[in-house]
Amino acid sequence: MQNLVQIISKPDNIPIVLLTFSVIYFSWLAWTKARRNDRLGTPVEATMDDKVQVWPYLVRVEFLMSIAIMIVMIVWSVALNAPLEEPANKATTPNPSKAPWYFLGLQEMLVYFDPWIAGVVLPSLIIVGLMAIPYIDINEKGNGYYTFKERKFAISVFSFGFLILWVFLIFIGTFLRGPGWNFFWLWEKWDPHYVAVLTNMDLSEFLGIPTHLPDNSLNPVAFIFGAVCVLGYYSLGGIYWLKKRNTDLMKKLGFLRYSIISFLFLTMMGLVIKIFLRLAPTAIGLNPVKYVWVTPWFNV
Amino acid sequence: MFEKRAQTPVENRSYAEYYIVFSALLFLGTVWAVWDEVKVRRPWKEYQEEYHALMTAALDSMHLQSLQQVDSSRVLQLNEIVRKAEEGFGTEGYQKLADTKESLQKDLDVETRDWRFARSRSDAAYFQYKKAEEEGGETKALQDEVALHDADAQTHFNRMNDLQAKIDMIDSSLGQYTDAYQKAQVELVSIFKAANSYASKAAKMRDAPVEIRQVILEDYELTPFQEVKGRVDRCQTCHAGWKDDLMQDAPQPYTKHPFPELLAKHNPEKFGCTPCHRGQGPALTEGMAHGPGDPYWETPILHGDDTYATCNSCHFNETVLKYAKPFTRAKQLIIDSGCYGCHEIRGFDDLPKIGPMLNSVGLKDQPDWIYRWVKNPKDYNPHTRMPNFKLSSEQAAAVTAFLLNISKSSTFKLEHPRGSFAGGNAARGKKVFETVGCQACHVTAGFTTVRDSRGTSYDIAPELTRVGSKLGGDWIFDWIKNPRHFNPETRMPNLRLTDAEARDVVAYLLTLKDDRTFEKAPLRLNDTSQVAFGEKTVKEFGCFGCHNIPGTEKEGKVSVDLSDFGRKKYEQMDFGDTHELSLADTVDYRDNADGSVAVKHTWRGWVYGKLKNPRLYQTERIVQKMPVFTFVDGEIKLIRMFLISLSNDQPLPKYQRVYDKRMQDIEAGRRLTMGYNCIQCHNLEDRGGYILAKYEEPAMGPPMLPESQGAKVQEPWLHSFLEGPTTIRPWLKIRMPTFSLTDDEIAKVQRYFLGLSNEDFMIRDYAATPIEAKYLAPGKQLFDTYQCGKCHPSGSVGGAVSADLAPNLEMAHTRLKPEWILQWLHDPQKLQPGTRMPSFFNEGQGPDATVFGGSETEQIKALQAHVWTLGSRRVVASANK
Repeated sequence: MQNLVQIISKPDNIPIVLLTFSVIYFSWLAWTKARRNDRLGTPVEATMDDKVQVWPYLVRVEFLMSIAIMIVMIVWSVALNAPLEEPANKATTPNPSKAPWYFLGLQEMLVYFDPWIAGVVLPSLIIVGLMAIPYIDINEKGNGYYTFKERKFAISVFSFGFLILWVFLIFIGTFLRGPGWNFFWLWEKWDPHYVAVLTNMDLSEFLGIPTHLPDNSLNPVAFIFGAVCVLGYYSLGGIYWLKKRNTDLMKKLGFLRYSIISFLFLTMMGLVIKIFLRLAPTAIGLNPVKYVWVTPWFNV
Repeated sequence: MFEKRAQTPVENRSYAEYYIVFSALLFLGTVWAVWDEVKVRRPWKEYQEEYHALMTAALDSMHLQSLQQVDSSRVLQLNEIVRKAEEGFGTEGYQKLADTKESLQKDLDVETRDWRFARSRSDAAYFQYKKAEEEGGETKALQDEVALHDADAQTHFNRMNDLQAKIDMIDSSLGQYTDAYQKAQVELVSIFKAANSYASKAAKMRDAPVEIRQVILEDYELTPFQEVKGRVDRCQTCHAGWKDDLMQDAPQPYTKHPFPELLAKHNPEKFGCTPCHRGQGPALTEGMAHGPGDPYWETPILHGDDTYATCNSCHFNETVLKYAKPFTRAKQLIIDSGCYGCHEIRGFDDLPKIGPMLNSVGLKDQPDWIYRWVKNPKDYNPHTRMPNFKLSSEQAAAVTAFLLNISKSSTFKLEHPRGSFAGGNAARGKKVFETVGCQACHVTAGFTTVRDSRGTSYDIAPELTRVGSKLGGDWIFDWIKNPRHFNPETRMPNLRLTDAEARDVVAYLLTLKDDRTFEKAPLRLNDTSQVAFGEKTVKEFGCFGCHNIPGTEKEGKVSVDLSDFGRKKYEQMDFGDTHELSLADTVDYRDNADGSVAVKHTWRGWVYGKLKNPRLYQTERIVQKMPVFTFVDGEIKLIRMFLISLSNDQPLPKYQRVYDKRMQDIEAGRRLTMGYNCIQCHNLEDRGGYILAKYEEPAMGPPMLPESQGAKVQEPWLHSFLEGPTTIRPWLKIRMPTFSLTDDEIAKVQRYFLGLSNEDFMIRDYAATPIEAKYLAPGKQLFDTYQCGKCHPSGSVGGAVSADLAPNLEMAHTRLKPEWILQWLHDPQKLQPGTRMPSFFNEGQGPDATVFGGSETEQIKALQAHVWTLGSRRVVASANK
């Protein structure tokens, strides 16, 4: 418990504590408003008549808020010192070495993928995917009011991606990752001498196909097996297309938009599947999966 | 447009309350921020004000004190004189004179001004005249103008002189009124001089500005990324009284530094404080500056003796630091314990292995004994320096087999026929053993004086209490007759025992038996697999770190490099099965009642536990090989202090002491004298001389070797003395042994002594030292008057003079440096504190005023001349030429 208090009260972690509560609050707020609108049929926002001029009515409220924020900043900066640590030293790095809090989700992904995938490919896809949203979202509903019923897919996917894969991973990275990047529950002490089980196996090895040959070169059979698994996974999107290509929605979307959505969605879910493959097998007495597909350039 | 806006919705709600509340909060927040910045985060201001108050109070009290010491009756007298003189100033006669003087003075001022102006006009005119002359213009008129101005100046000058003469005359008439007054004033000022100086210092302190006082060390060190970085130390902002004598007993942080002698060499105004004390120099609050308030500051302040650790960042080459005794002791401890045999430690790279060579050990010891020794050396000899490796019986048996196998190829043969040792008398042997000096290094049952005086938990040479059961008479006889015969590297010297003495000593030593009984050791000496297993064990445990063992010459150090150990983090250390001791506990290590051990989970806690019991952190899984030493608490703390210092952080060369040729010479000498244990008998550089504890009368023990030793004795004499010692102090029973030093080693000792006394090696013909004939007769006279011969014999060396307690002066001209004799006679105590030689001279005068009018310089020269001639006719002859 003392450990938890220590982590929470660290000046570095104040934004994350605030983030945890504010994200929950605003999600709840949006959710209740969406539920209300969905129940009523007509959005409440459509009937509201509270529009005023920016000058002076909005600006004066903004001015008030800027004073409030300055008060908060002054109190914060006086009460808590800057969280400076020891001078950088390449010979003795801090343990655990943590990224800035807003990158902890990415750092968490490094546990499951090699640095090239988790550090380069996935972050780029996140940015590209967010940029693509206006072009692939053809649903005109939900503009200017809260709703869930009319945008089920979009809101579910975004909420999952943001709340679980981004905010929750930051939470895990901050509060549950201790020395050696080992997992500790909130009530456990961060023991620098903690010894974790290290028995990860590549997926092919479960079927008796060694990833590397005795001369340490890559086993082509394992390579092909991994490629089949990964490409097979992405082909699920194609199968779904073949099945549903005649529906109105699919016709409206068109093949290109559908391919992009399907690729981004499957990649996101792939991340979850990989986490599952790493964590779940131990529950039934199997070794965790290290990589599905090992190539000379990257590992998935 | 405005109509349109008027039609749009208007918000009628008022935000005035919010605005007032928020503005008030913002105002309060701003005030708080300023208060926090100026007051709360700057506690040093209060400290400095307190310091100024303390200093002012101290100076005020010094002021009062010196006022009390003033001769008040004299002050009254003087005041009376002043008062009377002031009465005189009111008389008409004085007033008249004074008025005249004043008017004359005014005239003089006017004349002086006019004189200056005339000079100035002349200078300007002269310039114009010269210019015209150079340009070839008309010069006559200008020349006339210059002459005019010069004449004018001369007129004024003459008038000035006249006026000055008149003023001087009036002054002399005024003298009757003012002389006494002025004298009294001057005397009053001198009487109150001390008091006034305190008063003005106090006034200065009262108005002293409150400011950050900092020392900036430019280009001080390298960052972990090898970039040059400076340091800023602001410690003196709060510790403002570090150099004030008045703050000697003041509370912290105002106290004066307790070791001014260290500061003389490391001036804090140049060096700052953190290079020695560590801590966070730029910080200005206690917690941050000292360390505990900032858990991320890697070098918190060092407390107590641990502060000496930082000596090592610059003085890692040196083994003796005069003003850092704990550091010197820690280094000695590490050298004695041979830590560098297994660990790489900076500053210990050229030291010999501390254990004996094991080439012929089978020809010396019995296999059973070797087995028991290897298994646990402390069992035979609890104070041995050899640590316990806790080998299993199998390992010990195998090592024994391996060592005996090595001895098979030894070429050692006894020098004397077998049985030569027989026939000694044990009682006589005991006497020899106790007098000639064996006890300086070897402890026997009942005689631990030297061990106690060394104060270490270990002996420097084997204890001989049980030696009779270990060694055979033939071997002992061979050994004490010539130790280098068996072991050419041994540090045991030759005490030049006669055959008879040696037999007696052997007889005595053979009476020292181990009366315990032992089981037969499970040895299979000729089993090659045993020998191979033994060799493997020896290599695994690194026995060659301390012993020369044939076949292991190419092995490296078996344990970790300690060069950055001081910066190791506790997370990188394993605490095994020990319990965690609360950080609030007063000790770092605790033996629990149930036999378990608790240590603090800190660097210091880990190191304490490791040194206390090197196998402490061993578990079923984690094997540890470091052998078990038996350091006591004080030793552990000293070693730990030294370990703190082991890091790659060190100042750049310009902040370090230059390790020049002289330092290198001195250091080489220190290592040599430490190696041969010279300091066991001789007090050298304020350490050692442990055997002196044995003597009630220090003069009965070996002489101390003062730092001026190099300036004292002649180089050729020292060389021949170290080669083969001769008797200087015939009353001593203890003997200076023959160490069989090589010429190179003797040269090291020479340069060491010369270096300590700041002398350079010079080739001199001491026999040709000139002696002036005029000093010879007075010298002899003084020698008799001052009764030098009462203590110093000057006849042939040895024989009936053994009761005397001073060296024979017949040796002086071949042993002592002539300049040294002069200094010695001047002040013997200075050169050799504690000497029994009296000092005859006081303030440049000798007691016998009939010779050279009592002049010290002349009398000393005369005595020197006389001493120089004793035992040397040749010198006299050359002087008479």
